[in-house]
Amino acid sequence: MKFHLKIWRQAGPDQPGRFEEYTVDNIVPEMSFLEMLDQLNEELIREGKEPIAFESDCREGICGACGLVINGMAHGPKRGCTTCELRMREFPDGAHITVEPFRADAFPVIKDLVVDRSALDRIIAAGGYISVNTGSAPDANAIPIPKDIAEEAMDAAACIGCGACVAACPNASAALFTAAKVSHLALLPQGHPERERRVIRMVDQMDAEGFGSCSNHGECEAACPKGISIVNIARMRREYIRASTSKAGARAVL
Amino acid sequence: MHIMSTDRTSYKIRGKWDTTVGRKVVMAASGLLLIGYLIIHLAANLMVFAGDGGRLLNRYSYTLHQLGPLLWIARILLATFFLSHIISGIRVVIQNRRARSSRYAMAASKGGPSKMTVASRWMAITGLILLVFVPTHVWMFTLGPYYETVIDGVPMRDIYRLVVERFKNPVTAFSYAAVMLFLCLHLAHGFWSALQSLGALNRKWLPIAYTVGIVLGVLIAGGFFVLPIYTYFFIPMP
Ligand code: HEM
Ligand code: SF4
Ligand code: FES
Repeated sequence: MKFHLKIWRQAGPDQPGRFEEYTVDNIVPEMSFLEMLDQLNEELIREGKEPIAFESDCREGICGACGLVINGMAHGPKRGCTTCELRMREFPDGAHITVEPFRADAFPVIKDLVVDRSALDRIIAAGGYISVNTGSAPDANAIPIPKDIAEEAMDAAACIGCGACVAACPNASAALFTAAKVSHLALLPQGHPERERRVIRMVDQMDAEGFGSCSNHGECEAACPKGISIVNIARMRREYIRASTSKAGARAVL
Repeated sequence: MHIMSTDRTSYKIRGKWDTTVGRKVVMAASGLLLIGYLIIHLAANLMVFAGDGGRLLNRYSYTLHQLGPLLWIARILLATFFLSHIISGIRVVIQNRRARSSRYAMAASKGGPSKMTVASRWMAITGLILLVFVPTHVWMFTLGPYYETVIDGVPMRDIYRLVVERFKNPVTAFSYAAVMLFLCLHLAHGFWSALQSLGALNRKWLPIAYTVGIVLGVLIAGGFFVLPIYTYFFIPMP
């Protein structure tokens, strides 16, 4: 297969960026999008040119490193799929493909297609954990949890922190990511002792990072490779209202 | 910007209702209360269709004005909802634009569960149209000329006459109706969005609220749309 690519090139964080055009040939339909870029990079290196910087790690949809905006869609046109899992057969032969980095002021570009997503780590560090002493693992069924609640918590916990929700949101809001983290802990008894301060601190950190606010467009859920539902955003807001109107919440702010 | 805000800066300094989540709670609560008002207002306005030369509408309006201070409390509350909706709306829009200063060369929706529509994209535009419309509307009717009529021996304001007179002007009638199309869009996204912003929805209620919002938007805006058009074509000047 042959493709005409328009790829964002940017030398460094505060450098101006621009699109450059490339043509790749002899692409096997089973190749992933990243393997196609690998092949292009090998050609660029052979020609003595600077290869295109992009990020990847697991290449099997679990680490969240590989996000790109492909033809205007975070992780490309296929739903429920990361960029590394996207196969070139999803595109017609000879297609023109535009590749851009995730764009959000909270995700500054490091180089070419690589952005700094550590704002998401700081949101987690602000409250996305439970405080327990480590030791031997507790007995699995010591705390009974209804199956539907466990399932809902697991669905939220499936978030891989890729940031596609931010990339796809017209407001560059991190509401879905933050909500997924708030939800999976708020649903489980282990998360209850710190629920007020967790949601307040995580929302506050989200704002400090400069993400936008959620207008309920639902573009995040459509782009999320793990299909995290926006009902989690409603749950985060419930948690927030609850924390903001309770004594425990008031203490949490201090 | 890229620091841990361990001192809970925005929450503490600006307050819990001036964060990205808090502002939307304010917008949603005020928006829903305004929708509640719109429903009452529409029910009252439909009295124009009574075909009784304005008896019902004028007597309703007279009763309202007899409430005196209560009416003023209601007006002040409405103005408060309106202002808090606008202020938080402006803050939301500014923050959202700041959050993405470099635009995509290409942007496309992945469809599926997305709820993005013209209605959701245009909230700020349709909101601004309403911002211009509402004061104009109050100026046109509440602050308009004072005609008097006598019903059952009681002298009272002939608001019916003013309504019919205004809508006999084609420019007024048709531009009023046009604004209602934008109201329809604002409500079609606004209703379910407000419930979602208040955290009231879950897997079961989200799709229901979404559909109800569209129906509600069409019904409310539809009512206000038909009113000037029908008056222009079919209601005789009293
Ligand atoms: C009849 C008057 C109005 C009613 C009934 C109304 C109702 C609503 C409702 C229910 C929402 C959803 C709130 C949420 O998602 O949490 C909303 C959103 C919005 N309204 Fe209004 N509104 C009115 C007038 C206005 C005006 C005058 C403006 C501004 C200039 C405005 C600007 C907005 C904006 C920008 C949003 C979207 C917020 C976002 O992006 O999340 N609205 N409105
Ligand atoms: S919610 Fe989905 S899109 Fe957002 S970071 Fe998590 S996995 Fe990625
Ligand atoms: S490289 Fe790990 S999710 Fe794509």
